[in-house]
Amino acid sequence: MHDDELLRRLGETARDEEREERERLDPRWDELAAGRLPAEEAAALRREAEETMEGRETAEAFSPLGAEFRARVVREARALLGTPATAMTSAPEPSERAEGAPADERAGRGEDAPVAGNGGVEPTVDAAAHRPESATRPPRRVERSPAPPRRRPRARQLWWAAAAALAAAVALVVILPAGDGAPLPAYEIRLAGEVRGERSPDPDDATERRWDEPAIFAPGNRFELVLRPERAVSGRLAVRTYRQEGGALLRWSLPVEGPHDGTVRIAGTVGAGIDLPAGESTLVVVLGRRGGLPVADEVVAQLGTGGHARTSDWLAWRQRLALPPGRGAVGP
Amino acid sequence: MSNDRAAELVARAIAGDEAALARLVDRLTPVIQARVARTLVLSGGAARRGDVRQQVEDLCQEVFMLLFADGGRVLKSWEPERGLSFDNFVGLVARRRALSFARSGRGGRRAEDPAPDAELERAAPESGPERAAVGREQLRLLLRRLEEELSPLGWHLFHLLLVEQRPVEEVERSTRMSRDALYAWRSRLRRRARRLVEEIGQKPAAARE
Repeated sequence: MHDDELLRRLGETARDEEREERERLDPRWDELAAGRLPAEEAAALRREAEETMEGRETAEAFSPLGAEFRARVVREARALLGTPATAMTSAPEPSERAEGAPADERAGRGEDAPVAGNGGVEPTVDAAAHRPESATRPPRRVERSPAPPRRRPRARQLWWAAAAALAAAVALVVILPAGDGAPLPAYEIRLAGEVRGERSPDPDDATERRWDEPAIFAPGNRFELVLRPERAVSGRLAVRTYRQEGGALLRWSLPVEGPHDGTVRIAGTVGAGIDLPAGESTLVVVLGRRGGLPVADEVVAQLGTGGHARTSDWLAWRQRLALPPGRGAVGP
Repeated sequence: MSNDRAAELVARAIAGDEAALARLVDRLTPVIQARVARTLVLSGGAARRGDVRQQVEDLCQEVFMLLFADGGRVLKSWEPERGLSFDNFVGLVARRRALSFARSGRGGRRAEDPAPDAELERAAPESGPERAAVGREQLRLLLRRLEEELSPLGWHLFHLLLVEQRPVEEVERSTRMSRDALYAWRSRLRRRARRLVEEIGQKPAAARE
């Protein structure tokens, strides 16, 4: 059979799939996403969807991304395009809605605390009455990130191992100052699993790293980042994970466990759950009181040139990561 | 919105007109969301992860960033005269990103693609009803890869010529492309499809010599 026949069969397959898609997904979902579906029809569609798990998931996927999402996109597009901020009004991030507010559908679904990138649920045609909060919240007291620590001279020996590179645990510890009146305690932040190009003869001598000094990983290695408070934290916390590209923060979906008593763990296998882009990337983790997480612009501004920042409501931590091209799985 | 107005809005947004940027984002959000949501829901992967809402939001944001990166390079590549509407162009960019997400394993595989490539190789029977079934799955897999790789214009041409089976004369008119250019595209599509067959490592049973 010739390549033309292959193309013909592909066209036929595409037609089949389009037909199946039409049968499987009601076209009214598109109208709902566009906010064009009359309220009664939207309510009826949602009621039908409630009957199955797939339907509920479809309803969530198509519920309109609202003004908060759009405002965030505009801010980040502006940063990418290099357009100076002008008269844009600053809408709150999705998870900044008031705790317990009626529109908080996520809480209604029994999700106790948003995890990485969980920005909460945008207003939908059914729940459009969202009260922007940031406009009325008093300005936060901000403690600027201290200058990155100078790298201590270390008597390390190079230990590039070609055959069995080291998957070393323990990368860095950062203790953030609690600050006067800050509701969040100090946090220990620990990154483990990196494949390190250098190895200290003294395993205890591994506590200091500049944020812009990449932690090197390889496919197949375990990645584990733990943020642990010096004492248990009461109340609901939320976490967001981002990939920083220039001045923009893009949501980065990572497997987050917690927060449980304030502790958050991001863990998985590089290449299977932890999808690091080839080359270098910058991870930013933001942890704070639910309802008090900052918008991306604020995180970037407060991080400045440092590796961490903190306000009374949240803390942010940043680290460059590297996945060298062509590096195979190593370590245990 | 007409193509002319869309082109003007894009140009103004990229040039730094704040109001135009906000209008463009408003205009495109439902388009992008609908494509991303469709792709994820049909992929079936989101169900296993249980966070489809977050995936939709993240992917929509990524698509926007892709459109605006490098001074709006992707947006600028839209050629209205080729007959692809602005919404459809952006929708194809969104769909391609969502397909890539689903295929990467972060969002799971299509429900209709139950077997990974290696299993398809092992399972490929030589004859009988099973052979046709496996061939169909392989064709679906091949189609996904093709859609993921082609530019919006390439996919648009594939759709016109092979899915909708429009006569070449009609496609010439609607895309303002010469017959030679269309044949060149067709040849490109053939080569791309053949290369993907080889990459997948198993010829679709129905396409074997």
